[in-house]
Amino acid sequence: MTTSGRVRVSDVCGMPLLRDARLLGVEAPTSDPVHVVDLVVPDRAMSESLRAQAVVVLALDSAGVIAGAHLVDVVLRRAHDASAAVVVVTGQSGPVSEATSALAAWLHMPLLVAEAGVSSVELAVELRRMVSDPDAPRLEVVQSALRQLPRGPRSPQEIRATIEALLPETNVFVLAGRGLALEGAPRDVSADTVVSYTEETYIQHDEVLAVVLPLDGLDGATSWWLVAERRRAGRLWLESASALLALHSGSLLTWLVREQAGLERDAGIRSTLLTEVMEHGDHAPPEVQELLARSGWQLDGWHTGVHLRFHPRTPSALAMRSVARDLAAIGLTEHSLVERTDGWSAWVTSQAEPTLAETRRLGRTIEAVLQPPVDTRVVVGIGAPHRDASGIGRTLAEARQACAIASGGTRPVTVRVLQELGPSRLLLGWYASDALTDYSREILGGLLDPAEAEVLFTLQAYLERACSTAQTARALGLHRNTVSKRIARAERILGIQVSTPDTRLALQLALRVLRS
Amino acid sequence: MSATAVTESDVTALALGCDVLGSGGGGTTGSARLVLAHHLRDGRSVPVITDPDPDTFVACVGAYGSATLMLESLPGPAAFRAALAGLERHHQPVEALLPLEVGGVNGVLAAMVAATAGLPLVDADPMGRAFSRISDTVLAAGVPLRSIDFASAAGHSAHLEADSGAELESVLQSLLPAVGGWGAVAVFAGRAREILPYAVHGPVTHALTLGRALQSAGAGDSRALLELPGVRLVLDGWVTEVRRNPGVEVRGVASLSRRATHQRGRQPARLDFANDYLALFLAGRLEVSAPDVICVVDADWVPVPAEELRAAQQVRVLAVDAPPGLRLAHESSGTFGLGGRGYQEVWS
Repeated sequence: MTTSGRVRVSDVCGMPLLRDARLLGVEAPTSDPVHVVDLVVPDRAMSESLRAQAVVVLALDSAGVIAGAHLVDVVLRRAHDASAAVVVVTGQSGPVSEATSALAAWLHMPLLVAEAGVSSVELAVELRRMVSDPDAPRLEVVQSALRQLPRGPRSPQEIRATIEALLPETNVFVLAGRGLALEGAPRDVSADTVVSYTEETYIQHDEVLAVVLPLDGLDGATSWWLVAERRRAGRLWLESASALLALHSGSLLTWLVREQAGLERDAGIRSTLLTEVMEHGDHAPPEVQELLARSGWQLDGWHTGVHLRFHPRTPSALAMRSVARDLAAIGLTEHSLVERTDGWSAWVTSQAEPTLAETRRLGRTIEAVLQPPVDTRVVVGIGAPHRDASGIGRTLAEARQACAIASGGTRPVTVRVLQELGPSRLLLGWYASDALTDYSREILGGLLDPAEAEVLFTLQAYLERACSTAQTARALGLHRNTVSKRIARAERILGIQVSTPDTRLALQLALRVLRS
Repeated sequence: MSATAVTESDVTALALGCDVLGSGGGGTTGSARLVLAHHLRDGRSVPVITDPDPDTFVACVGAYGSATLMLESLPGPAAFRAALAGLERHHQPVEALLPLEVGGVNGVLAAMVAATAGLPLVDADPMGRAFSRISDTVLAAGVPLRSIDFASAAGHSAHLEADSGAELESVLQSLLPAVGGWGAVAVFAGRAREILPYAVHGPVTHALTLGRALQSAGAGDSRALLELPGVRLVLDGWVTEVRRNPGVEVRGVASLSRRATHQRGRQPARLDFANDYLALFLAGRLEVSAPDVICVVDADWVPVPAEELRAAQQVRVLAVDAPPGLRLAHESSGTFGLGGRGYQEVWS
């Protein structure tokens, strides 16, 4: 059997026996190949012949009462001169001296100092087994995986448990679009990085190795990522992990697609139901009444509407599960969320009329618990409480309006409570008007060119800060002259004077309408 | 009988040379050299003889035990004279003295005892450097250690006899805690023709030569020192860490860094010690080890004993070849190197 280049220093570092070994000399395990194992007992430290690409095991655990710490330095040097790949010391009592760690670094020779109690003989046997037959561990893993291979769909939870049981020290997780965690969670790799891949990839980051297997949804787009990661792993782990992920991806994909289809069907039913409720109020036809009863929706009592709008994209029904998990804090479940044309709606029901303080607290709770997907902003509007089935439509409409007002925020989560909006409620109707949207585009025409984005942004900030050049400059981190120049440019492009009060009001309204 | 002499003006050179041959152990000479200078004032001197009459009755004299405890008070001549008197009671009057060991404080003390007793000092000793056990010396290999005359600073004295040197020495060590941790000993008594063939020759003149060269180096001219046969500068750099293992012995390892030059970059080095400096490794290769002498000097060329070595010190490390007698003995027995000190033997 050819073993050329199969086992690397990083595989040696990743061995269970060396899990807690200290690595000196190099910052991270190298990928230099390991071909042979040379076991060195103390009284042969000077005479044992060391071979190129060897893992040299210095067995100080067999030194007895003879002092041998200096042998580590000697063997490091001899290993270096022989082009060995790595030195492992067993039985080193106490901390390693600065001289030894400095020497390992000076020679660029990886030095693994095994934990007390690791036997050199056991280690050498394991190493020889790995080096002589590097496929053995992977084949063992794959064989046990095959024995347990699922027929039909399996949930991410089951897949994770199976893979983690077969690969010690490994963290497995499943992400959905925009980095939402469906199962488990990333430990060392970042969700952003994972979801940027559309093909199977290996990520190496410091001491961490990860296998990322993207899975395509029915529409052909990459919708999920099955990932295994491990610290201090080598190539042998990578091969095993990759094989296991591939083996399980089929049943996971079947489960995910089926689940998504089911969820989307349910979401569709809920949307229809909501339309019926809003249309008929308390007098829904019997077949709708029956569906309502099955859905578990509460129609009696006081309802407070919550509307969630995501930017730049609304998550799928499956991805909304993690949002629903967050919203469990206010008593909502995934069955409470209804998909709308511009986001997701839900309502919270209570028997007594909620006070303004309670509604505000609801807003603060949402702000605290909601974790939007990577690169996604979520704007949450909360309507005023209204009573019974006929009130659901009203409170949801208000929640949507509050959402429209709140769209101006830039934080990951922005929450607006309608009752707190005060005079700006006057503007709600305006924001929703198509005619005004068109007119706003006309007013701002020249500034909507992407090349003028900075000028538009500066103008908006300037107007929001009561036309104070100083405050705008501070808020945007610009020089005052830059702000003045940009405002002058805006005036030139639009052919107006910002100093005129009516112009100012019109501009501010137009900007708000477009932004909502 | 060829002779030279140690005078008051030689005391510093002798002490520095003894420090070098102490190889970082053997006790510091600081206060002993003051006492010796005191006894050599007014033009007095100690004759140093190289080949005494074969019938001359000689003995080794020196301090044994903890050098640290000994230096808590100035070591006066009384205890040494008492140990010698004890020896003379079992033998005959001593006509010339040998240092118990030239390395460290004992090289200076032997001259002090000779000065106060009015005896000449023979230029020979059991080892030619510092050592840790009397029974484990070059001399003991030829002249079996069968008796020790001992006297403490507080006035206790003992004459010990045993069939083996090792046994005798362990009895002596068991006495020490009760008498203040150290005492004067007189050992290896006999006619010059019975003793000197087995001793190491020339340690006193060796110490004087090394000491004088070190004095010039301290005054700014290190050429004479580095041109001495058998002396090598093996490292010029600084100490990065000193790690001492807990225990009675000053045992541990110092990490050093060799100053970079234009031919090569900085190199890491390790210096293992157990009471005295045992081995220096440079970039993982053995540069020097016992029985050769390792001497660490500071920026002013003042020897630094192992117990005073500390991180961030600027140091030079000198290797001094073991004297021929010791070298020969080590080559035939193999017991005076790392192996004899409980360390796994290595070579370059």
